[in-house]
Order: sequence, then structure tokens, then C-alpha cells
Amino acid sequence: MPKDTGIGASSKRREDVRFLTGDGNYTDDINVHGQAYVHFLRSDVAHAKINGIDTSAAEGMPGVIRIFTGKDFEAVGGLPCGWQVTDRHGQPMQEPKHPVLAHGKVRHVGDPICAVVAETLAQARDAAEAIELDLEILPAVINMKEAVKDGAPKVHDDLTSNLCYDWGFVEENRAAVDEAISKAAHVTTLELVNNRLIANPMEPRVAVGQWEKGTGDYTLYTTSQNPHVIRLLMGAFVLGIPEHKLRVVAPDVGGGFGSKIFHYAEEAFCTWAAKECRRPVKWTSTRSEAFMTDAHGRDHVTRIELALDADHNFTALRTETYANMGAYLSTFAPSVPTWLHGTLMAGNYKTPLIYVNVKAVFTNTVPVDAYRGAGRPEATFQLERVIDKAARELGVDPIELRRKNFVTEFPYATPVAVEYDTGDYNATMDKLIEIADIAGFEARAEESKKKGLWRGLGVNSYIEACGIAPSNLVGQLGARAGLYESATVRVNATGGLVVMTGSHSHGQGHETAFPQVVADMIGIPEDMVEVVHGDTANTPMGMGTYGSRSLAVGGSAMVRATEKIIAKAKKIAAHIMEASDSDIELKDGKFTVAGTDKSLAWGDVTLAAYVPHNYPLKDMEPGLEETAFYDPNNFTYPAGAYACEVEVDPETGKVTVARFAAADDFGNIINPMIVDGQVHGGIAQGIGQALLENCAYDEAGQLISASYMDYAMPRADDVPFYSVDHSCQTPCTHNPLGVKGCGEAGAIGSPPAVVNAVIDALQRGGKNVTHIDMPLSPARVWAAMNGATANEGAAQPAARDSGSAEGRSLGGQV
Amino acid sequence: MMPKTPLSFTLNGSETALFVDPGANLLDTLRRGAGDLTPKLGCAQGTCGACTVLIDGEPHLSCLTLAETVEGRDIATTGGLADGPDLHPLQQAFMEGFAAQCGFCTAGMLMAAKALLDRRPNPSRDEVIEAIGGNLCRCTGYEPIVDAILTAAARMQGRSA
Amino acid sequence: MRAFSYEKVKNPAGAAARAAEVANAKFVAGGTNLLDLMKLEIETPLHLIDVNGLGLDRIEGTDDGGLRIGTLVRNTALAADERVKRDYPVLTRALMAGASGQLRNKATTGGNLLQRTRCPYFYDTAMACNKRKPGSGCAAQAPGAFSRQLGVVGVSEACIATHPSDMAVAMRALDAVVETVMPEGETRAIPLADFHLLPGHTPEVETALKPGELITAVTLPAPVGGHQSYTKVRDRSSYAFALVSVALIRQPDGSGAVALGGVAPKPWRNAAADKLLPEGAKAVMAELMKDARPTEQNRYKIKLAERTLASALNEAKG
Repeated sequence: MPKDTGIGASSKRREDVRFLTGDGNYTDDINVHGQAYVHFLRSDVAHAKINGIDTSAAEGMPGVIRIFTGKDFEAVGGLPCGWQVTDRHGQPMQEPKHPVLAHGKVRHVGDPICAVVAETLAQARDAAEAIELDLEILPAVINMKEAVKDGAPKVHDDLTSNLCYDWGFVEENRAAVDEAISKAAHVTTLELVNNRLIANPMEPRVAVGQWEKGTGDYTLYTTSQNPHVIRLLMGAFVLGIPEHKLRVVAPDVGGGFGSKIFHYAEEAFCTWAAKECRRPVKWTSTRSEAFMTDAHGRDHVTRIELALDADHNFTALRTETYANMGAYLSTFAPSVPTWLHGTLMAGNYKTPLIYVNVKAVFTNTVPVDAYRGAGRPEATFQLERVIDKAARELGVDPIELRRKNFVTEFPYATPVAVEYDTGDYNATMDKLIEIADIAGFEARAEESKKKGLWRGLGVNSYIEACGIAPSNLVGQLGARAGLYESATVRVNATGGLVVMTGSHSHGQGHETAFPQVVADMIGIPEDMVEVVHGDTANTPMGMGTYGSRSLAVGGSAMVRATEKIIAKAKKIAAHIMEASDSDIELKDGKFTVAGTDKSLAWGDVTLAAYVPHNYPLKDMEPGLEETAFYDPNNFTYPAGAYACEVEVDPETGKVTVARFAAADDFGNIINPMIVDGQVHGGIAQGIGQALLENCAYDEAGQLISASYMDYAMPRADDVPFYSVDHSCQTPCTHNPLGVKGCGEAGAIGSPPAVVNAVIDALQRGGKNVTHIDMPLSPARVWAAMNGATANEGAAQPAARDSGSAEGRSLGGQV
Repeated sequence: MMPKTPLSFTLNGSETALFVDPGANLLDTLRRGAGDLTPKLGCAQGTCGACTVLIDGEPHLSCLTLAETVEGRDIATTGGLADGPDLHPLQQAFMEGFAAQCGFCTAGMLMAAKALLDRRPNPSRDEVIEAIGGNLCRCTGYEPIVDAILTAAARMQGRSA
Repeated sequence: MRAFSYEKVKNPAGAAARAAEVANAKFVAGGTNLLDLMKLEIETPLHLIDVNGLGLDRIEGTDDGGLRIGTLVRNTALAADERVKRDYPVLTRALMAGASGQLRNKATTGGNLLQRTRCPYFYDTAMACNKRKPGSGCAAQAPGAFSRQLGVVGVSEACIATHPSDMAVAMRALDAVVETVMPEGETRAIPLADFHLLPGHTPEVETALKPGELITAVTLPAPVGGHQSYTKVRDRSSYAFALVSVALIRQPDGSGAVALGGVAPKPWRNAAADKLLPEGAKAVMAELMKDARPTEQNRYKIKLAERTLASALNEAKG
């Protein structure tokens, strides 16, 4: 029976009241007395040498307070990269400088050159137009394959080439993998593109910097998923402000999806300029600035080979990927195509030998970093596409081929370094077959045929690594940060609790779900528990929210802190009731002594903690407040199976998603309603990637998709009904809640399901199409099914944009 | 500098009078001038719907509305939707149906939905989808929003959804 | 956005006179396109003349049984008008195929005809564009440029932008006429066929309107009946401009009219092509596209247009 409170209940979200009345407090809603506005003059070319900047006319314009250029930041550090990858030969990656304002060169459209601080935004913009730039246009490199050729223009002149790193994993397996593939009964090969995307949270980024003359304290209000990380990176590495003099606040944040993890130049600028100008400084991104400055996502070009034996067991897997880094290394960019991607190449399968090669490349494009799923969607897409292709080549059922190769015994150590603690991939596949009504597919296909449409079914499995991450492990892999999480639980005298967490909620509903756990542990109403997050001044140092980690890591810290609270409260109760600690039980908010009728209410004990008249002061301090830092032992491994049914119009190539089903194993569930919402949203983004979204550059490096007119976001009529289920639960074995994380699954599991379904529809329509690169726009599908050449339509629309395999991929061997 | 223009209109039932710069748009005027922060700036190009407000009952994009054109007109925003502590049926249905996640598109969604229900109290599912076709949401995948609008419509008509 | 002055006007001739007299003035009605372009500083008028108070917002019957649509009639109201839905269904369908509900509420009939192109190089002020800055060149035709959405026919070396309106394509198939008033107060009627100009060497001149001339109405001739459809192919279903669109009026005897959107700088139709309708899509499209000069990237539109028309004709027969 569904619960109505505590763990497992679909508690309504308490944060919704302020969101629904419009009373949320987003960063752009914050206006500080006396604030000035900054407008960034940005590069409108992809690559140029800055020969001169003349600000003299602009400085005299009305309202101008000060104009900054790269020179002003010479004494200040650059934006740091938080992850160092070591290449195949044991050498560290090439790591370019990343100045706050461009210095010497501009390297992508949108690179900031000058910052104009003025009384009003209009004045700042007007003055920026009066700045005279002398830019010497340089050839731009956009295409990754071109970028790594000898003699290609270098994005960074002080690096040896545009190759950031050439990473091999597991390098020791390379020869064995090559040999297994050469001896295999069957090898299926696929070349594909994981299209460049833009996260596009609906709230554009905003930063308000403030400096208090009286105290020398800085405050930054910013749209961030992890204010402590921003404080650490910006304070220590960029501006040299001691952390205790810097407060970073991320209030209500209107979505992130990864793009608000990273430390951006504008945050550092506003903070620093606030002191320089003796004025608070505010920046609100326009949407077109968001398109050219928010870190982009994906943008991989991959060749994957899957080897099978005569019985269709997977025997080896080899991949070669080119991963676009853009013009600079964003905060966690190097980790995405490597440790968040290569380690997942085993998928749900017991492939014994795997070798992953990744070449990370600098180009004159916006930096690329984590976007919902980050590395794992790229891994899943390749693997689940190549398996589908193999099934078709071998004439076997794609579900059976997967089942035959599923990992079934746990824990399972993959050949790519990670150990799956628990899972049941057959169970989620069984559940999927039920909720997707796969048995009824053929009948539905007949109905579609009567309408003149081709229906196709696509199925796939996925696995992801979440709950990021064990600090000692990621430290060995190159992370320059720990990845624990923290919580302070403060009990008030009257019994209410405040949970101060380092996790950050920007739509996930922590303010509702976290209290469900704590209230359940103590046995009190959820509304006695309040969550505080997003402000470094009143939360313990924590690493924030990404990688589906909030509940698995942040929630675990909160459980540990609450356990400490309960242990101490029991001692207080034991003292008052004159019993032994070990006999005290806490249930339904009441302390009892085992075997007696003695009891004390929760509030009596909390009051005693702060009014310690009858209290074991000799043994214990008064008060009831505990902090825990939780560092996970392992990643968590959510997994599941997805099914998509599409209808393809053979006349126009238009794809309609007719049905979508997702069976996920997230371990234990705290709030099923919130989990449903996370999965829905993830699937919508995955369908967006598969059918609509594409970030395109032209050959000169102009960003073509820089508005919602050119970048196709899913709208209400682009998405289907979703059938989602998370009743298959194999709890995580190593965190106290048994939870695995659910934030990214939808975006990871859905793109291959959609593409597999379209290919199936075309095959059923008699077209021997084996692959189409995303997004599967009508023109691309139509061209693929008509075998059109690039000139006649096609793969054509893609032929010039940066999402095309033809334009960028290896074209076979490198 | 060009002189400011006096402007008066009704905002959520209250007479509002202020001075605007020539060329000011309604979104800035509401947010900065009138202090109503409920409409949100999502794109400023008329493509995301986060700034949707009602002008004389019709949904409009405040980012593309010249402030001076609303002289004497009736503006409604999400700020005026609830009746004191009592949520509007749309807000109630959004809450129960988990139709907001990050909350940033929500005010625009609610106003687009309200305009629809004011005009068509019994909309079909397709009509709801059409009515929010100009509003982007990146969190929910839309299904709960469509469901919530239909639920609110049913309740306001005294039907069970 | 650049600062500008603003005034409201009370009568159409006065509006036209003011526009002719004030330097760099523009009319504003719905403002959906103009204000967007002003924010991007692609349009930089010094003075805006608000014509919303002119009362030109009625739809009324004409003496010859047609319909006169005031220039300020909003797209929403036009699409919903019972006479339009019954007698000119191609127009309702075209209006519903364009933009979002909020934009349709603002967009006016006259403003819709005057929409500027959505060419990305027109929108990007850093790029060369003869339409935005005469003589600067056409970045859309540079090697490697992104031209898949742009025009294939009626275009020139100076410009390959398309006209983005759906409404205008339907009106072109319906033989609409644009009524205007000049600064001196005289009025004239311009067939929609002659209203939009091809770019030639002067892509910045987009319409036959003279300085200050104000659109007051669009008239439609008496209804012609037949099967009417508007078929639009785009990259996704809502809020996207057409790759190709087809407005089709087909009479039971096979004759009719066909106008194309998304392929040319203006709604694309000619009488010779209409005559070929009974022969099918291939023949019609051969005529309509006979002078096409596509780019490598948008050549597909020629075939796509033919298939879209074939699909519309199929539906009309069925």
C-alpha cells in the first residue's frame, strides 16, 4: 500500500508553493542596493589575434564606471580545470590557460574580450559599441579530424598541438582486445556521432558580485549547482580570496542539467569587479549569450567494434572516440569522455575484453563539459546501437542477444575498472516487456500500416555509474577535488530540525525528499524538518549536485548525521529516564525504555539538550547538532531497460514517438512522484537529442544554432506519454539508504531506444538503413531511406554542420 | 537622454502608475518598475514563454510587448493568481500533479493555461498542448503539465478529472 | 536596444504622413518581429509610430462577396473567424501552422506580411548581409555557410533569404490584394503577387511600399471553394519556420492554385504552374522551380517541395 508520509511516500513538494505563486527567489530576482551592470563585449569570430583594444571613446560615454580588458586580469589567476587526465603514455594532458577575459587571442565566438561596467545595462551596451577592436582573423579549426592534422592552426599557440590527450583504457588490454577481435566469429562495426547539445536550463545564468568595504567580505550570488565548489575554485585559484572572506549563494536555481556545475568567467568577473568598482556588479546572461557561453555537451565521434563468438557471446569491444573539448578546458571537461565514459563501456554485459581509446581535441568552439548523463549517454548510445546492429546482422532477436550477455551475478568486476555491486537486468527487461506491451507491437504496426505509416520498435538496456564518487578513487583518476558530501543536522530546543546540506536543489525537490528521510528515522512529521542549501555561509563544505548524487551521497551524509543525533538523544533520554543507553528505543517520535512503560517525547529530550537542568553534563556537551561527511565506497549502478515505438511517415521522413516505456532499477525509492518526474524529464531531453536538438557551427566557426529558432527544444507536442516503472529494486549495498540515483537515467537510456526504433521502422518498410546520425530530423530520415546523396537532401542537412560523421569522424582508420 | 513617459495600467487589479524609458518592454517594466518578479526572463526573443502575462485576458509575451502599448490596459500575472493563501485551481493542480520542477517556466505556463481555461473551460488534450506550445519547459517532459491543466479545468467545471 | 521616441496615432492617413515626415520612423503594431530585431539592433528606428489605435481591426464582407481583413486583425482572430474557417480554410490552416499562441495573439495581418527573413546571417550582426547592410555581401553563400533553410528560387547572388510567413503563402494562393494609404492620403491596392519584391541587386528593398505608406487591409476575393490545404514540412512540429510549405486549392475538375513557402524570397506561385496541376506534382514543380539556383545544401528542397505537393494532392483526391 502506498505510504502517505516518510520514506516511500509521494509527498507533495513543499517548494512548489513558492514556485507556483511566482515567489521563488532566483538570482535575477536579487537586486543589491547600488548595483551596477556589466556587459561583456564578446568575440564575434571564432579565432583571432587581438592586436589592439581602444576603449578611450567608450570610457567617456554616459554612465560608464569602468571598462576592463584582459590586461586587468594579468595579476589574477585563470579559470582552473578540476580534473587532470593522464594519457596512454603516462603523460599529463595538455592544459591551456583560461583567462577570465581573453588575452592575446580570442578562441571561440562568445569569448569575452572586454567588460563594461556602467550605471545601467543599456549604458554598458552602448559603451561597448564604442570600443574599437583590432582583431586579426586567424583560420579557425572546427572539425576535430582537421584539428589534429599536422599543420592545423593551433587553438593555443603554447601547446604542441590541438590534442589535449590520447587516452587508452585499459591500455594493458589493448593487444588482447585486438587479438580477440581478429579471431572473432563475427564483428559488428558502427561509426556514429553523439551530437553536440546545449543544456538550456530555462533560467539563464546570472551573477551578482558584492564587496563590503567595512569587512572586506565578498559575496557572490550565482546560478550554481555547487556553491562550495565555486567558492573553492574561484577563491583559491582565480581571485586569491580566502574562503572565509567569500560567501557564495546559489538561491533558487532554474534548472542546471550540468551546465551550472562549472565555474564561469562571469562569476569571477562580477566578484572581482565589485571590489575594483566599489559597487555591486550584476550580470544577467541573455539567451544568445547562454548559447555561446554555457558549456556545451556531448560532441563525440566514435567508431565501435563488437566481437561475438559463434554462440553470440560478446567476446571483445573496441572503441575509438574523438571528443571535442572546445577552446578551453571547462571545469570537469577532461573527465567526461574518459572516466565517466570508458568505465561504462561494459554496459549491462559480461564482455571480457574492452579497450577504449579517446582523443580529446581543442577546437575554436565553446568549451564542452558535462550535460545530463555526461559520458554515460555517449557510452550507452554506442553500445546499444552496435548491439542492435549486431542482432540484425546475425538475424537474432535484439532482446535475446542482450539477455544472453547480461551480467547476472553480483558483485561483478568489469574489465573497465568498476565493480557493479548489485542489479537484475533480466528483471527490468521483463518489466519493460510488460509495461511496453511488446506483445501487442505487431498489431499496432498493422494499424500504423493502414494509415500509411511505418511503425518500429526499439529496445535497449543501460547502466550508469552514479553517486559520484569515492574520493580516493577519483583522486587516483585525476580529480583535483574530493567528492564526498556533507550534512549538518541542527535540532532546535522545541524539537524541529534543520538539515544543512552541501547538496543543491535546482528542481530536484530536496526540500521535500530529504525531510522524508529524517522524519522517518525519528518518527516525527515531515514538516518539522527544514532543509537549508545553496549558501556557503550556512551549510557545511559540500560538493553539490550532479551525477545523480544528491540522495546517494548527500542523503547518506544526512542519515549519518541524523544517526549521531539519535545516538546522543538516546543518551539524554536514558539519563532522564534513569535507564541504560542500550535499552532506549526511539519510535514514532517517542523514547521508550525496553520492557517498561516509561517514555519521553522527542521534544522533551530536545528541550533538555538546550535547557540542561537534568542532563549528563559530566559526560556530554549540551546541545543537539551533528555534522557528517559521507564519502561513498563505490559508485552506484542504476540500470534498466527502455522501449520506444515510433511511426515514420515514408513520404516526409517525419518521426513521431508513439509510445515510450522505461523500467528502471534505482534501488530504494524515497519519493516515487519525484522519481517519475526525473525520469520523464530525462526522457524528454533524450528524445530531444535523438530527434530535434543539434548545436551546429559553420566552417568559419560561427555558431548557427544560437537561438530557440535555430536550436530545436522539445515542445509539448513533440513528446509522448511516458510509461515508467521503478518497481524492480535491487538496493545499493554500500550506502545506508540503499538508493542509486535517478536524475540522469532518462537522458541516458532514451536516445538509443529512439534511434533503434527508427531503424527498425525503416527496415520494416523495406529500407536497408543501418544507421542515421542524430538528430533524426525528417530531412535526414527521408534522405537515408531514399538513399539520397549529400546533394539531394540529406544526411545532407548534416553535411555541413558539426554534427556529421562525414564532416568530422575518422572516416575509418586513423 | 530622452524623457521618460508616464504609463498607467492595472496590474492584478491594482492601479499602477510609473515612468518608463522610451522603448522599455513590459517584462522589464513589470520586474524593475512595478516590482512584480513573477514573469521571468527566459529568452527575451518571444521563443520560450516564461514571460507570458495576460493583457486584457489574452496571453502575451511581455518581453516583446512595448510597455507604452499597455496604457490603460489590464495586466494579469502569476503574482495575482492566488486568492490570499488559497491557491488558484491551476496552482493546486500543478502542485498535486508535480507539474513544476525548477519552477522557472511555471509562471508563464500558468498564465498560458489560465488564458486557455478562461476562453475554453473544457479544453481537449490537444487544445491544452496547443495552448502551451509556445512555452518551453526543460524539466518535466510536459506530460504532468498537460495533465494538471486538464485536472484544473475539470475541477473548475465541477467535474472529477 | 537603441533609444527611440514613440507616439500613438489616431488615423491611418495621419500615421502615413507622420512616417514620411519623421526621420527613420517605423510603424509598430504587434511588434513581435520588430521588437526582437530592435533588441538585436538589426532594426534601429529612431521613432516608433504605434498604429494599434487606428481601429483597423475588423473583418468585414466586401461588395463582391469577398472579405476585407483590417491590417490590425490579430492572427489568432483571423484564424478563428468563422467566415475564414468556412470559406478560406487554407488561410486558417496556414495561420495555425505558424508560431505559438502567444505570438499569434500579438502578430497582426499587416505585420505578418512585413516579417523580415529568419536567415541566420541576417540575424547575426557580425556577418555580412546585403539585406541588413547593403553592399556588405552575402555570408549565406560563402563556402561552408549554413544554407539548408534558405531559398532555392527567385534568389540572387546578393541574397538567398526566404520570406518566413505562412499566412502570406495561403493569401497568395487566394489572390489576396493589399490595400494601403500613402502619406498624401491617397489609397491604392497592390496585388499580393506584386507586393513582395525579389532581391535582385537590392535585397534591402523587400516590398512595393513607398516611404510612409501604411497597409490598411488585405482583401480576399469571393470564395473559390475546392479542397484547400496547407502542408508544412519543418524540423519539428511547433514553432519552426518551414523548410517547405505548400498552400493548395484544388477544384473537383483538377484545376486550382498552388503557392509555396520556404523556398523563395516571397510566396512562390505562377499561373503556368497552376495550369499544370492536373498533370501532377512533378509537372507543377518543374515549372515553379525552372529557374532555381539552389546551394549544395538546400538542393533537397526542390525534391522535398515536389513530394510535399504530391502528398497534398493525394490527400485532396482522397
